[in-house]
Amino acid sequence: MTKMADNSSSVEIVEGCRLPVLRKNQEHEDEWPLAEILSVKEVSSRKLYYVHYIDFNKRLDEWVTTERLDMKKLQFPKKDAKTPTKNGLSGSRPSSPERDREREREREREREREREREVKRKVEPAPVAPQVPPVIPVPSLPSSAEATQAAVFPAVRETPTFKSREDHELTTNGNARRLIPAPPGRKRKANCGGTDEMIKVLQYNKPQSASVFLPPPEDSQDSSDGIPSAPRMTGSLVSDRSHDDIVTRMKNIECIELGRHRLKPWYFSPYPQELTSLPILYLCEFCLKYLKSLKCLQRHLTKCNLRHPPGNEIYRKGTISFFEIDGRKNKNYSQNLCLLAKCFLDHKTLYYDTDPFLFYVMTEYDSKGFHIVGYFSKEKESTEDYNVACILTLPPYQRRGYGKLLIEFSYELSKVEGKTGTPEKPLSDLGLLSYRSYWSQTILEILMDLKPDNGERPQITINEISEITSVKKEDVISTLQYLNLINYYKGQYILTLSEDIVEGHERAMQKRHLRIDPKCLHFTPKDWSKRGKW
Amino acid sequence: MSKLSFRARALDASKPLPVFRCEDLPDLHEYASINRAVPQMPTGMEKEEESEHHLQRAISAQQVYGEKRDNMVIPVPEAESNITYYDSLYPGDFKMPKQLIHIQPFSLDTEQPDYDLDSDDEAFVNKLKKKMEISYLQFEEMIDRLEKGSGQQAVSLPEAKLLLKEDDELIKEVFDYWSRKRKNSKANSLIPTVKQEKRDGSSTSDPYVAFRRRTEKMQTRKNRKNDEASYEKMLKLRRDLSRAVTILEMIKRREKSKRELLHLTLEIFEKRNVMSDFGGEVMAEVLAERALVRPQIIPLVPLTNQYRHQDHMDLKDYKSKPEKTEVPRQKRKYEKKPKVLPPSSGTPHHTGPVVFNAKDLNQYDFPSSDDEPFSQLHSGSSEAEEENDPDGAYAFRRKAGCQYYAARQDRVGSWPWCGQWEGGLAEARFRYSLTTVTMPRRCLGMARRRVGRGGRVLLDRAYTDFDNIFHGLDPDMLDLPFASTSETNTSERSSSFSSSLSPSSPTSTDLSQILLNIKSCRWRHFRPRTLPLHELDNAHPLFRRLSRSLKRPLSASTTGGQPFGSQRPGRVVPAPTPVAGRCNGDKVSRQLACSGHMSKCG
Repeated sequence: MTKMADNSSSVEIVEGCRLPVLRKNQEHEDEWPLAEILSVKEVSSRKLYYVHYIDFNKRLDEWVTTERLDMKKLQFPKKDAKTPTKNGLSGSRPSSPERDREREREREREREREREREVKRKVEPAPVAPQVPPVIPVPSLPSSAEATQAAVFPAVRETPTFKSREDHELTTNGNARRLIPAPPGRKRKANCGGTDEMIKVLQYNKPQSASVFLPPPEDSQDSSDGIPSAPRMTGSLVSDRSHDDIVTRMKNIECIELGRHRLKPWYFSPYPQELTSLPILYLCEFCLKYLKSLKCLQRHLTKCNLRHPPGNEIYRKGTISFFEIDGRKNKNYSQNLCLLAKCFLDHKTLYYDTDPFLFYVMTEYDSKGFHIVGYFSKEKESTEDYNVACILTLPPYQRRGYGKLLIEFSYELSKVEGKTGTPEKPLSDLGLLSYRSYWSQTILEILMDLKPDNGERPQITINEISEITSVKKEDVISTLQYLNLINYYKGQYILTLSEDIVEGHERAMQKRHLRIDPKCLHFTPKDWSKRGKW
Repeated sequence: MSKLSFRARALDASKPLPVFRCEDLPDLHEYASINRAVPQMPTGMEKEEESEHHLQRAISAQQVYGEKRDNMVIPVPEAESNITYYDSLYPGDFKMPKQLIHIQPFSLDTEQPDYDLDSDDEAFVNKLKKKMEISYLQFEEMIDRLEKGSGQQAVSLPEAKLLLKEDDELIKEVFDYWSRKRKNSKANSLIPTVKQEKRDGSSTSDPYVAFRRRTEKMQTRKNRKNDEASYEKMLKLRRDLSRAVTILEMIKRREKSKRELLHLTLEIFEKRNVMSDFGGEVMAEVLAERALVRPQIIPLVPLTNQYRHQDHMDLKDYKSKPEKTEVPRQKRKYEKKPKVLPPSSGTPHHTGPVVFNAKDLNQYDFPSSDDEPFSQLHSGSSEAEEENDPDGAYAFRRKAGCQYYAARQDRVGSWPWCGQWEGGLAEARFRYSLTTVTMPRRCLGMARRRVGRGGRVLLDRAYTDFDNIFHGLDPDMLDLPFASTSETNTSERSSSFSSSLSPSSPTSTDLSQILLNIKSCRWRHFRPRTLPLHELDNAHPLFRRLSRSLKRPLSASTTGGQPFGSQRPGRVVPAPTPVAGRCNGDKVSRQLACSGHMSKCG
């Protein structure tokens, strides 16, 4: 690709423009996904563009220089869509009819390409077309694996995605969605990332790994005219898209130093505005207070004697501990924790105070103290069976089994309470993966342990699984479906365990060293309805 | 043939699902198509994010490999963990406590300043240190105060001097520095804080405003039980508060009465002084007179807390249910009392003008505020009281001014009714004698009295051959012509019924013999009237009069159905069914009555 820098001065790139932008993928290669310009700024007479890669998670959004823009394929914002303003609400949101039509066409094309590819590869059943957007060089799949896969995951999951998506937009939240155009870059095309938009260039870069879970918010239910209104007061996740303006669409903190870690935030967080311009925001590792400089942090540490989260330790096994913090009694810490967590949770809302929540902070002990690894929050009283509001493993600890540990702990609490629970919705991508994985392992553990009684086939009801695990019934069903265990056979439903599933499960369980030991939990649920409100 | 109807039944969560291994069902794939019937569950993600490239890739990778591959995971921005100065920043000397950490509420509220010194400040303080005494912490505290003292408008120097305790010179330096720094700062405060909501509601959409207070109440739909409970709590609170008001009013009244009593006592004292009644003779006389009016029949009424002082009350007026009518009466009784002075002054003090000895003072020892004298005045409490307290009105209660000694081992058993061989006094009036009770009016036969626990009078009955005859005796006949010259308060006296054989009595020889015996004083006849207690013997002349007056209301009322506790003073109350345990001829002791009160004997 040629450098566009020289030409760029002639054309003004404004917010809302779309064009391919260079980025490095996990295979150390460069690629040119389509991106949308969300903001433009000038730093020492050089223009910087904040881009959102369409159909990639917001956490990958970044400031890029002109060199990384492919000016040749620049698309200006549609006429009917105003350029995004600083206060959001208007911009290049799609959803205008023609845009939808355009998208439809694009998808059509995409599917065709997909089919061609499939045929070329000679894979029997056409799998999962829109769901698995043909990723870059599809890692050469061992064809045998692919074949078996096809049997296990039949086409059931194929087109409905598409359909339901459309339906959803038209019905459920049709109001909101259609009248208020989503903020820039929010809508993704189902299938962009097609080959023509992804130009691969060889490069190297470290692949990043992740395993955070962020349960993001309820679908929007905001007022239809875009007038900002206060969001609902229950739950922890954004339900109001009107606040999802251009400011909150963009990361505002460059780097956070927490203990021995430097974290690159993924999303906006409402730290005091004067601190957002700092190259590094310093946090006290134990009380999570934010400080503008290392000097301040040093001074703070002479005064802060915390060496663990300021709550009651309700679990300890080995070096892993859990602390319970009341959002009403310990506002400072709770707010600091929320500010930090918001950096990694897209849909988390900090609109309201922390009073109705409990925070369970998981720590790892060493000679310096109890270091925060992750946490989840939980409504003291949930009207909707939520046993988790937000849940997060801090990035340095991700992909090491801590997330599953947090989830397991949340269900142990529910077991003590004698309730079933489910995480608050919406789930994030990482949240979905983690929960699915936890549910799968938990349920398979039970199914594999079932012994035939009296020579009869072992059998179990969904309700029983739910009671044993405290996993809400709906989640049990969705997991069984996801694993494709439910089959209709000779007039009744049965659960079938394929060899692949069994082997995969055994392999996964071998890797799962970190487990919660219920004996180490010292927890008495409180009846919050009898206490003062929150 | 196996592919049946396309539409399968809905999945039933309560129906057992048999678990198969796929290899056991080779024909399973034939049925695969029907699986469509199981509705697809939503993932719980935002629809638009569900289709994100990396997620879909990860999901499909998971499906293909059964696990995630490193290059198939969702990429995230990087994090580093190699801060070199970390070890010097945080001390590494923290020992894990053996116990689970339990934090005390409020232990976190340290007095440390929120402001943290930065490099500029450090330079400034170091420079200042050359001129005057100041530490980093002191500087931080000063800035902290200045910051917290300022709202939108920074504090002025004079205000600063009020806020800070240091000497003026230091204040001036720090204040100037602070003002400059604050002016140059973009932020509103030098202590960075999360933006607060504005009162006017203009900040609803400011993305930097966080942690707003929840103004509306959360739905209480789910907590209706809770609402009910709190409503009841409110009711109880209201009741308690109104009770407190009543108690305060009563205390006020009591204190007024006490003052009045004091004045009257003083008046009496002065009068006696004028009359030169130094020996207390006049006083004693008055007391004797007054005793006619004010009987000292403490035991006759159920003694409960709130009536501790009812011995001053007119018995006739006494009502078993304490109502408001009680209040004015109390006043009256207190008015009366000063004239009365020590009730125990039946044993007059002859030693000079001893009007107030310690004992007398105790008489005026009204229930103090801690005594909760009125605690039971209010409705509702009495039933509960009875449940908790089986002895009810007869439960032992300490009386102000009395000393209580433990029973002495060597004296146990030396009761007046015990024989000499038991160390007792064997007083005649406690021997077995013919006994008649008043309610129902009949002769019981032979019985003897003794005083039981709490001053109850017990009657031990003995079986004799004459029981039939005794029961046939007409009590009225026995009752008739008493000259009442006997020395005791009981009617143990020579009963002189000369005539009147009951016509019904059959065995006339025996009967007449008995009557004769009785008449001729050879047999003692006991007819309880009032207290059988020797302590009160000296008040005797009154007693009869009183007992007569008491008898009237008592016998008139048919008290049978009333609960015992609320009954009219149950003097020596007869056994309802007198024959309960007569079988053996031995003395069968039956607790008949319960009106004794021994407090006076200390």
